[in-house]
Amino acid sequence: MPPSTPTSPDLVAGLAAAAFPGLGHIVQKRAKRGLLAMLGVMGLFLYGLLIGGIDAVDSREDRVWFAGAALLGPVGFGADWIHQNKFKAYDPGSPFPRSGRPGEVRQTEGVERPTWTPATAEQLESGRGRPNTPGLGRLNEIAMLAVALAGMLNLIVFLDALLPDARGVTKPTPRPAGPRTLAAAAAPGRGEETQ
Amino acid sequence: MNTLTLGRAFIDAVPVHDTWYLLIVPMVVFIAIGYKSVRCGNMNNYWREVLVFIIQVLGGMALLTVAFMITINILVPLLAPMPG
Repeated sequence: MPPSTPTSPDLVAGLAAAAFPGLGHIVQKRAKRGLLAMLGVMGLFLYGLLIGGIDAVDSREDRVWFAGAALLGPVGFGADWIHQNKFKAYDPGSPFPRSGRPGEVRQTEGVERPTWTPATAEQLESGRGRPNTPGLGRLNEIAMLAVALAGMLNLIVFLDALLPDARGVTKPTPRPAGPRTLAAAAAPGRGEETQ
Repeated sequence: MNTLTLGRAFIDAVPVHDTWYLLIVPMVVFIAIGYKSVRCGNMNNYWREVLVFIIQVLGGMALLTVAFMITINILVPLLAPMPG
C-alpha cells in the first residue's frame, strides 16, 4: 500500500458524511462506494435495532455504549432522542426517565410529563403495556455491539470522505501532460480508483 | 414475552436467546460491506474481497471456538484434574 500523503480535507464531503453515512462519497461522485458504505453502516445499525429494539441506543442507561452510537451522527442521536422521549417515562418525583417494566403503562394524558403507572388488567389485555420490550442478557449486548460497531465503521467512512487522498487511492487527480512511462502505464497510479 | 411482529420490529427485542451465536453472521456481513467499501482499491474485486473478509472473520471465530473448547475440555482437566 502506498504511504499516506496529507492533503487538504474535503470539507463539503466531510459535512455530508457527518450528516448521513455514505453521503460524503456520493457528493464526491463516488456513488458506488457511498451506497455500499451506506448499506454497511445503516445495515449494521438497523440490525442492532432489530435484535435489541430501540433500547439498543440509550444515552442515559448505556452511556459508554452510546459513545459508539454517537459516531453515527444525526442517525444515532435521532434514535436516542426517540427512545428517550417516546418510550421512556418518569417515576413520580424522580428527575430521571427510565424504561418501562412489565405491568407498567406509560401515561401521557393529564400529567405534566410522561409517568409510569401500574397497568390495569384491561390495559394489559388490550396490549397497552409498556411501549417497548428491552433486550436482555446476550441479546442486549450483541445489539449494542452492533450499533457501536456501526458508529465506528461510520468514523472510517467519514474520514475516508473527509481526507479522500489519505491512502493515496481516491481523489481523482489530473495527469501531467507528456508521454506516459511504461511503469506508469503498467501500475495504477494515485487517483485511479475504480468506482 | 412479546413475540416479534413486523409492526414491533426495531422497537422490541427479538426473542432469539437460543441461537444468539448465529447473530454474528449478519453482523460480519454488514461490517465487511461497509469496511471494504472504503478499503477496497479496485472496486472490480469488491465482492470477492467482501467474501474473503467474511470467511476470514468467521473462520477465525470458529478456530477460536475450537481452541477454547480444547483448552477447557481437555487441557485444563489434564493439568488440574478435579477430585472425584
